[in-house]
Formats: sequence, C-alpha cells, structure tokens
Amino acid sequence: MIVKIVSEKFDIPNSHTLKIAKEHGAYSALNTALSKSPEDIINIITESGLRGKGGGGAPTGTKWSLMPKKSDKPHYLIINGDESEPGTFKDRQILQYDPHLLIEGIIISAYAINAHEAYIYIRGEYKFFIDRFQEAINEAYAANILGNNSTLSHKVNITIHRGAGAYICGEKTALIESLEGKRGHPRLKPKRPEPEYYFGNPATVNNVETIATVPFIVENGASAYRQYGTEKSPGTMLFALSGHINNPGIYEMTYGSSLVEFINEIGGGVKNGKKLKAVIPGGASTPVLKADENLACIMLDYESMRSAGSALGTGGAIIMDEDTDMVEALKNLLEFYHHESCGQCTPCREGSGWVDNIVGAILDGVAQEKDLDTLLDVAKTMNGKTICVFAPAVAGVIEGFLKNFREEFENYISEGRFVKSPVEAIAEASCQTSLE
Amino acid sequence: MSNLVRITVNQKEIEAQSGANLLQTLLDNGIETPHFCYHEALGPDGNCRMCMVEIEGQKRPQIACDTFVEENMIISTKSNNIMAVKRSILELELINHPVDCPICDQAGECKLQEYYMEVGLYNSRLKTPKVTHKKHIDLGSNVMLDQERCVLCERCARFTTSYTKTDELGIIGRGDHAKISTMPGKKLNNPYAMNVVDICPVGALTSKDFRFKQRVWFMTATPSICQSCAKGCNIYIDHNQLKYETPVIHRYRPRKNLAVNGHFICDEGRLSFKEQNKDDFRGTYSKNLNINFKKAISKMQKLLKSESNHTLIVLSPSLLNEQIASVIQFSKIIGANVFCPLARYTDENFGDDILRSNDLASNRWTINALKIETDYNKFMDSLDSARLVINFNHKLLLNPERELSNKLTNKINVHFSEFECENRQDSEISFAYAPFSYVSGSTVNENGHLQQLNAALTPTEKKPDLLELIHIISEKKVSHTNEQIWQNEMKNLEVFNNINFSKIPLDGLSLGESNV
Repeated sequence: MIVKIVSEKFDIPNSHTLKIAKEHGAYSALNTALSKSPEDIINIITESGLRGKGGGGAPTGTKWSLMPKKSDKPHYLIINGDESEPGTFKDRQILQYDPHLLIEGIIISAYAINAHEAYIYIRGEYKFFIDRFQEAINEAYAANILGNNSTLSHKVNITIHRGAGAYICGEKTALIESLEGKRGHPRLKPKRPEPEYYFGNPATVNNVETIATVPFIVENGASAYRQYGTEKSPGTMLFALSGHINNPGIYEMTYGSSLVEFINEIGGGVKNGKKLKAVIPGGASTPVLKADENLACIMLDYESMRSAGSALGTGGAIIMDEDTDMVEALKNLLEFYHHESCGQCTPCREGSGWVDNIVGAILDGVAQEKDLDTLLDVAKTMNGKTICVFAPAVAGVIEGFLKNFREEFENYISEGRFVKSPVEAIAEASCQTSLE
Repeated sequence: MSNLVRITVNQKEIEAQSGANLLQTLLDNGIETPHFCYHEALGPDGNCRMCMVEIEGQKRPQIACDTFVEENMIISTKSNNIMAVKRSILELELINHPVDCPICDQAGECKLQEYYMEVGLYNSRLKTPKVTHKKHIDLGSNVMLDQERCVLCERCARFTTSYTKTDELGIIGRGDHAKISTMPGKKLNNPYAMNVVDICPVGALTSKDFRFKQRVWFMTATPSICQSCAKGCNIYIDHNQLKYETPVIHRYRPRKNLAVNGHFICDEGRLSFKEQNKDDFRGTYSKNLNINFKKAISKMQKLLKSESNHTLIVLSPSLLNEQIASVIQFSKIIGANVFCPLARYTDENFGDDILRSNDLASNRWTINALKIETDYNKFMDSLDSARLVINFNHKLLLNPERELSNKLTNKINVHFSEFECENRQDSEISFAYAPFSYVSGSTVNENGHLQQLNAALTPTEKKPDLLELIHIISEKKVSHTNEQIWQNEMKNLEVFNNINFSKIPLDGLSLGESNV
C-alpha cells in the first residue's frame, strides 16, 4: 500500500527550495520537538518502532538511547548518505526533492542525542545531490534555522563530507574512519552495545531516510507511524524497483506490502511481457529469490524476507526476467564485490577475488563440476569470520544463486554456454501457506 | 588490580588475568595459536582472522586477539571444526602468495610455512592466475619489500604509526590489490625502521643487510645485550661457523624484555654487529711489530715492576662488570690509579625518547657505582706524573686528540683493545682481546638493570679473553673466570656483593638507579 510520509513533497515542483517547502509544512515539527525533552523524543522514536532504513533495520530509538545522557565530550550526529548498494537509489531522492525534510530531521535528531554538530557523508558520485543539499543547507543557515545564530533553542551545524568512491564507507564504522581522515576500514565491533565514537567522542550514525522519517513521528506521535506496517516492522519505507520492470522508480509503501503486488501492480509487471525469473529484494547484497509459488507469500518486511531466506536490506528490488543469464548476473555482482572489498580481513580480501575468478572460469567454460564446491567452500569461509558484514553478504549472494539456480551453473560447466531454463508464470496473490 | 580467574583451554584449566587479551594469554601459556596481525607491542587489529578459537556459548568462532578473558570461559583451539576454519583461512592467505620459499629469505622463520605445516597441508585448489605485485621495492633504511609475499597484516604500518609515530607505511589499493607502500617519492626513514623486518611474519619485508647471506636454520641465536649505548637493549646474536672458516655474526635481532627495550632495538644497534666481525687486530704488538705473546707478557711484567708507583690505568666505561672488577683488582696489585673519563662516550644527537640514549657508555652505571674517577681534568692532571699508561680500550686514548696526544708521547703506552686503533705504532705493547660477543659476563644499563651476556663466538689465541690476559699478566693474582671473579673480586664491591651470578635471570635484575 502506498503511503507518503517521507516522499510527501516529492511531486511538488521546486519542493527543494525553502519557500516552497515551508509552504508545504517543512520545519513544522520543530516547535513540537524542541518543546519536548530529548528523552521524550527518544521515547517517542522507541515507541514508534522506527527501524534504520540503511539496510540493517536496527531500532533507531535503541541506538539513540546508547548515547550518554551526561558527558563532557561533544556528541555527534553522523548521517549516512553513502548510498552505494547496487539497486538502491532512495536517499538521493530525499536529497533532491525534499532536502529541508532531512535538515528538519537532523535538527530534531541532534537535539535528541544532544549533538550540535551533524556530519552528512554523501557518496562522492552524488555531485548533483550534494550541491542540491548544500543549497538547502545554505538557505537554512540564511534563515537562521541552522548555525550558531539560529533562532532555535537547539543550535545545529551541518557539514557535508563527500565520499571518495568506496562502497565500504557505507559501513558505519568505516564511514567514521573515513570521516576522521583515515582509510575506510571497518572497526572491530564492541562486545557490548555502545555508541559509535568519532575521534573518541560519542556519535550516532543514521541513514538519510531514517532521519527524514523522524519529523513525521515526532509531530504526529508514535501511534500515527505505527498504524502503518506490521507489528515488528512498523511504518513505511522507500522501496525501489529496477531491472526488467515497466515502471522502475521509488515508491513509498508500508512494510508488509506484498512483493508480487509491488512488482506487478505498482511496477507494472515485467518488461516486454516476459515472465519473472528472480528478484534480488533489497539491494545487491541480499540473497536472490526465485520466482516460484512461494514468492507470492513474501511480504516487504524484515521478518517475512528473513524467513524466505533473504533480507529486506535497503528495499531496492532488482527484477530479472526469464531470459536472464544467472551466471552472468552473479559474475556481475561478484565483480562489484571484488572491486569493493576494502581488503582488511583475509577471507574477504582474498575470497572476494577468488569467487569472482571461479565464476569467471565458469562463464569462460573452463570450470569443472568440483569448482562449484570450491565456490561454496570459499563462501562458507567468508561467512561470519570477518569484521564487518561485507563478506557474509557476498557469501549470502553466492549461496542464494547456487541454491536457486545451481542447474544453470552446471549447464554452463557441461555445455559451456547459457541454457535457458523454463520459467513458470506465477499467479498473483496465490499464496496458500503462510511463511511466518 | 590483579584478578586471576580460571579458564579451560582444550580441556585443561589455566589461570588467567580477567579482562586480559585471550590470544596473549594463550601464547603466554604456551598454547600455539596461529596469528599474523596481532603483535604484543602493537596490539590486536583483527584483520588476519587466523587466531580463531571456539568459545563455548558463542555461535561462531571468535578471534582470540579481540576477546577478553572471562571467568569459566571454555575454549577450544584444536577441535576439528576450528582446525577446518583455520585451514580455510590459511588457504585464502596463500592463494595469492607466490610460494617462492626456495628463494625467500624468510624461509625457516616464516609464519605461513609454520602454519601450513600445522593446520594446512592441503592441495591447492586455485586454478585462476594469482594476483601479481611488485617483488623488490627498496623502501629505504635497508628494508626491501616484496608485495606479493605480503599478507597485509599491517604490523609494519601500525609500527610506524604507533611506535615511531613517523607514519611512513600504509596500504594503498583495495581488496586483493591492496598493498603496503610508502607515499609516492617518500622513503621509510626512521632510526627504528628495520624492526619492521622482524615483525613481518612473512617474507614481505626483508633486510637488505641480511638477505641472501645465510639460511636461518644454519644459525645459532645467542641471547646477549647490545653495547651501542647505555640502554642495554636485549638482543639475539645470530651467528654460525662454516667448516674451515672463521665464525661470523650475521645479524642482531631484538629480544623481548619489557623492563628494558620492549620488543625492539634501534637500527644503529642492530647494525653494530659488523664491528664485532672486524678482524683487523689480533695478537700482540710492540710499536708496529708483531711480537710473540710470551715476549709481550714478560715485557709487560717487567714494565709493571720498573714503573710501579708511576702507573696509571684508564678503562673504558663499556667494559663488562667482570672486566671492570678484574681491572680494579689488577690496579690494586700494581698500585695504580684508575680513571674512566667519560669524554667521547656521549652523543647529544643520538638519543631519543624511545630507546636510544645519548649515553654511549654501555656500563656507565657500574663505573659510577664503583666510584671510579670520571673527571677529565683530574685525569689530565694525574697524567703528568705518570710514566706508564695502561689503557683498557678507552676511545679517548685509542684515537687521542692533540692535547692528549702530546701528553702521551712522553709516556710508555700500553693498550688493550678490541679493534685496530690509530696510535698503535706509538704504544710500547698492544694486546688484542675479544670483544663482548666472544665472552659472557654482565653489564648494567643506565636504569640500573643488571643483565647477562652470553658468548656467541669463542675467544682465540690471537684474540683472548681480557680476563685471561689480566690473569696471566698478574701472575694469576686476579681470577680468570666469571664465577671466580664474582666469588672473589666482585664480593668486595658493595653493589654486587649479594648477587649470585649464576642466578641472574634472562631478562635481568633491577639494582635501582645509580645515585652518582
């Protein structure tokens, strides 16, 4: 079901300017927010069940409550706009069409965690969006919404940091390392929950979309947000469609919407009237789903995706039609991971290259049957033995492809070429069994 | 704050400090755990993923270097599951490694080799080409880099970041194309640079000075103490003797001693082994002529008799304790005054706040503690009335400056020295004696840390032990073995009288600050 919370102003012409944005209610949540105590805001966010929208889906309220209540050190709010996951292009819509919503969210979130400095790390390739957002920041400074001369009771400064093209810098600790001027290497994870540390000072890292959702929740209350979505995944999210689909784009929908409906009704079905073969549901790093009778039972929420053997991730679905060569598709993905592995942990540094090469050998028709076992073996080594979740994601991708399309890989090995396998059309809303 | 708890490792209970680093605890308890990136001096980095252990109650294997000891932990480092994990990670470590062990200098002390024998022993499954990098890059400071052999443990980079704080090394590139490098056009340039060769667990970093000289399994490592400055860094002397050839020292390596030098030594000290190999001075001489040892001794003894009461002894502040004790006893017998001027044993530009000390007198503590006269002017005054000057390897007299040289020309000079010196032709008699790497003994560093040296090489007839020389010259009135000297001569020296020589531990004994 389409519900517009974050994307409310996306269709209004010139909504990125302060004037138009204000006419349509931008910054209206500030008064409500700043009249409450920071603890109250954290409580509202916790109650609303808002989950991080960068891929992991961690509860935002819990994250915020890790920030120390009293400390002599400055606190920092860090916004993750390093949107580099293939198939994901939602944060840039916010930067492009409603930057003031993000600024509003930043002010409220910074107030909740007692931060006066907010850094937004945006992927370097987003030149246009960086400029667009900088314009909005400049307008907000000029209007005394931001900055030390702000008329608000809580003063916030926003600084944009432009990424230098590393996918791994979307990992929050690598992002902080990069922000500190170091190599973007993920940090060792703490044994117990604690805030992140930016130059040794407590910091919280949130996704752009998460922060953009905050004004609505604070203004309208937790229950207003909870009325959408499911019990465990409340609210809405910007879902994306790309690939072999008639209407690619960004659609804000409630969690728990049907994946098949999303593809067929909102997305207008598979391009050129072809049949659906597979879906990568939440950005390239989520395991591929095969279009079979179970697909109709899969809902767009964290729990349903997990039980289907994949993950919701960033909500950026990549659609593949019946003619898709799955070996080629996997090779395409692995080339990306090979290129982007930061090279810190051995399994990922060496493994991501090896798996890429093995699949390359399969494509070239020089592989043997047992290479598939090697491939799975390497994937197993990459899973759960590294500092960050990059390698496990690669392992998941490989395992997903081999679980669902092993036949095609075997065909490649025996025939040396792509052999199209028959795909059955799936009936809409034909889910008979609940996956839960 | 010690809080000892019991943990179980491989079904055996061990005692461990609560909150301590698990990997270090395992290593301290002699439980071999493969690791590349962790180093006691540099801490954990968590990138090599080799030190995986199984901890009961944890879903996944954990890296020991990033795990803290907790009470009642049950750990397995040897289960089939964990061995398979280690093997699979080692396999990945090795897929892009050139496996050029036959021409690699690290062979024999390479962690990749050790772990392959311990947990690997599989056949290669790699069929695609390996990633190639540059194989000989001169990083500067005698360090050569082979990027292909590198396992990217970052020890060297972390060493330059956290230890020398010079930050020359870093990683460039990502994924399997990542490699260690300096900044373009920059060199590795710091006085501790060659330590990266030791901490490199593989053959990526090798010493330009040592590489291709000797296979490590042909060498013997003798624990000793560097004599280049008063810090007294602990070292291993790696040496060997090939058939029909003279014994050679090939390198010094730092020896861990947390009370003195931690894990490292400076490059200056490391390369000072070359001096020990010098063989330019051997036997006995009168003026410039080689003379028979017996003749030299009898000549010396005659001189001592004829010039008694006009004799002055100068000794080097870098002699070992036993040598100093022997010289002092000798001076008492012949009735000579002993001086140890400290000029030429200080270099204001040498020291730093890491390991190097401005004080180049490696045993100054003992000189001070024994209250030997160190004043240069007093020494010069006493020189006027002396007729026989006996020098025990003091730099000031071996290569004298003009003022001193003028004074010495009218004297009868006797030199005991390790190496060739400028004014041998002026000396009545010169005795060569064996430098410190040939003898065992003890020395005290600038902070009053008494440490033992072991003989790596053996003194020869042409290069005898100084103790032996004095023993003969004194007609056996001075003892000639360390044990006897500690029992006799050193018993009379207050600072050493309650110490049992044979019981000095390998990492030394603190005697406290010298109060002089």
